[in-house]
Amino acid sequence: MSIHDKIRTKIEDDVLYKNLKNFASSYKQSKANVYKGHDFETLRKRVYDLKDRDINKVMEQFHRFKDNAEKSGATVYQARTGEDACNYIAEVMKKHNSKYMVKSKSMTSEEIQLNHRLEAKGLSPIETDLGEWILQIGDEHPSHMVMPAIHKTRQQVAKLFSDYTGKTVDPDDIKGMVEIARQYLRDDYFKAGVGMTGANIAVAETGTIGLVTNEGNARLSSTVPPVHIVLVGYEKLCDNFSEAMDIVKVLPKSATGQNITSYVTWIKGQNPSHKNETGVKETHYVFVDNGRLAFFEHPEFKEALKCIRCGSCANICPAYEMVGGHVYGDRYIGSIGLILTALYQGDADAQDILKMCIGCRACSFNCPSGIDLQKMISNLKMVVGQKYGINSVKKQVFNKVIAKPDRMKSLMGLGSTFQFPMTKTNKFNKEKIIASVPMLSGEKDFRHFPALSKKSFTKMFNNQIRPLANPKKKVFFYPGCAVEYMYPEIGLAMARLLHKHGVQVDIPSRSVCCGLPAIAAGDPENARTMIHKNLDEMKSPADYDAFLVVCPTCGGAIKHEFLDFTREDPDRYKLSKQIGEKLMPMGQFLEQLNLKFRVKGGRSVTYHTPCHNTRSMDYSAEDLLKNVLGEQFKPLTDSNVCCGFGGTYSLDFAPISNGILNKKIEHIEDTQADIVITDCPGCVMQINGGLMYKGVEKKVMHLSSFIENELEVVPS
Amino acid sequence: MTSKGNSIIDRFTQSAIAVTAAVKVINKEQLLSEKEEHNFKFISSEILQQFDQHYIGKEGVDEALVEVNHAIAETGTVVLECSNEQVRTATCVAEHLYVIVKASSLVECSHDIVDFMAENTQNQGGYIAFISGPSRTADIERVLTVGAHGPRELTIFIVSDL
Repeated sequence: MSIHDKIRTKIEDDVLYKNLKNFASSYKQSKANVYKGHDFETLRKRVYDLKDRDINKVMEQFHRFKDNAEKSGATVYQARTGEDACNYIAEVMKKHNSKYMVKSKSMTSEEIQLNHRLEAKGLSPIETDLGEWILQIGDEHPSHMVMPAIHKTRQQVAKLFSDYTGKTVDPDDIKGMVEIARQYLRDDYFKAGVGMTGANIAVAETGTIGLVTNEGNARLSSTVPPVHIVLVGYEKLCDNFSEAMDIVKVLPKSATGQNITSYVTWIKGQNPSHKNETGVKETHYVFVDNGRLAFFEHPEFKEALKCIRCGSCANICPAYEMVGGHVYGDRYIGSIGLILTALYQGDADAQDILKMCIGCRACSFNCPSGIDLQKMISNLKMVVGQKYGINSVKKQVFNKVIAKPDRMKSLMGLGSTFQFPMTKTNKFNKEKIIASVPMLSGEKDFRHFPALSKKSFTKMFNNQIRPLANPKKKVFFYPGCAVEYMYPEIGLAMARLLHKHGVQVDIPSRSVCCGLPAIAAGDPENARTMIHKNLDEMKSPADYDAFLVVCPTCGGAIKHEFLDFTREDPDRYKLSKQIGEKLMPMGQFLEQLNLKFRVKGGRSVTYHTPCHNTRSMDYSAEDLLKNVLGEQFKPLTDSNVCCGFGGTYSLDFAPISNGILNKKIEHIEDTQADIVITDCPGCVMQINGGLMYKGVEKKVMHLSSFIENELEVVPS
Repeated sequence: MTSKGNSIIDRFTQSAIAVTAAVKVINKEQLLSEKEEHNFKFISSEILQQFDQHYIGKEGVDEALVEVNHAIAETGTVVLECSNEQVRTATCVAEHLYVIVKASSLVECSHDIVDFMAENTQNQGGYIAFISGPSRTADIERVLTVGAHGPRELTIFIVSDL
């Protein structure tokens, strides 16, 4: 099945939609509650630092662990591959004549496909975590790292249990179903000759593992059978218990919004076991390489080995929320799933799923290990883009049009001239939209597009905005493609406002794309061309008080990606750095100018926070608006969750984009506000397009147009 | 008792209740009467000077009483060194687990017991359980259900005069 077919199937799954939507909203709440009184940044910095190490350090930790474990009589085995690990485990089972092995949840066992491989040898691993057991009975794979069966309803579970037990199971009696698992699996713990667990933490100091669980199945699996096998990746090692507690402090909070799980179990070496003829438990630690050790030496990919498997990157991912973990990931799930699929299974397996990341960066800001997940995905996209090629139409467009400003300008000019037979006026807000876009039918047709502007922003700016005689301040404004060709008014409104208050606005002589669309498409060469051209068009930062953007996505590119793409070019790098330091969104500059606004009308207003405002520019206009609007401001639920635009993402993955947009619209309608403000032209295009398409009569405005039309400056 | 002692008990109690454990602050004498009132099928406690050594099988046991080493106020967690197999099994399969903790062994957060952790995993073996509330799951439609594989209830006796 193609990735798009898989997506369609999941989008049409109402159960999945409901489960993931409910989970996403309740998770955000409980996570916020459980971190109250803690400084998330401090906690995650600690985890980041303790996991920040090279291969030498990891191997030093491993040998320390190994020495301690072996001293206590345990066996430590280093498995080079997944198959190797599975064979070793099978041999232990055979040695003890044990057909059955009770196992608690282990993502590493999913990674190495342990169950499948043991079953092929006639052995029977039994999952004891309730969610995993449900999936084992149903012959499925987890769709979430912490809540593996989140995609299943109580009715589906009841059916599975009923088929399995041959008894009637009441689908509304969840407690009763848990009881079934308790009874059946209780027998299994006592029947199995071997118990297996994973390890959330491996403490080198004394050779002790830590297991973070809720159900108590890991305690039983590691207590009752006479043999205990621990399957663990090297990345779980840490020096001592203080570091281990740093991990325990964030893991349950980020995983499920719990302060702590019911059980955190610490096991060292060999403990008494009356079922073992020696009277002592036989313990095996299986350390799995399976490709991970190599990445400790890679400057970027080693970041992925900081993951503590909490699953929060899936919990807050708007695209995951639409399709679930059977599509968004592979053996591992969520943002880290996309990355680990590329690293462990190879980029061929990952090339399609990597594209599903919309680039909103929510995961990077939520990761309790401080991994910049989105950046890694973006870098991996470029790796697979170069290796397997990117969409050939896109490549042509980037190469032949967008990277060449003059050609882009003339083509857009041509477009605006020829589009008029195809444009129409949207009824309720009188905005010019494209009547129908050829080749854009079916699932891609879920919003109206704005008509191209007859004249480009640059042309209109040069005609309308005259230089000031004695400016108090000077700013350099980077318009970006959306303002240049579709929404010149957004840029002009800002320029007029600033000029009125003595701030001279200058712009580049030619408008060049910021390069982010090429990066997102996995095309680093064209991105580099665009970025270098841009820098050549920028004026000297020394002459300006600030560099401004009205599109935070462009802003984010200038602040971050310009640096990445000029690393081998000292002059351009220096320039990027200087510009980045002076760069800010328009709203932030207005706040710094200390202008006092008041609202003219009585209309109520809500605010959508663009992803790249808070996450790339560290700014939100919400406080500014709240202060000016008071009661007229209506807060938007999940204001900072992506609107689903993501540039060409909204065409490439239209059903996901549409689904994310629908949720945004639902929240917007709940506010009952008259006006929706945001400060990104991409978000304006997406949200306004969706609202017009649905016939929802709300005005969508960029912050700059809102300030010009609905606010006035209070004379000081 | 100092006011500091009272406040850590309060903080512990609040956290323990949040994870649906029951907490009773009692003195040693009251603990003895609790022992008499209940029909504990397994007891392991230094205070009570009773260390049961029988194995409990898959049928489980209604009520077990075990003295723990520490309790952590921040999370409402009790900390039990249970390399002893009988204790370990009993605390896994008791339907209602009762634990005893001396007020003097309460700590604020998990970082306060890292030395205890290191000492108790220094030698041949070691098995330390952090227990916070009853066993639970939310694996079916995320509905929180207690009594997954372990105890359905957890009651904590804090012995205030020890």
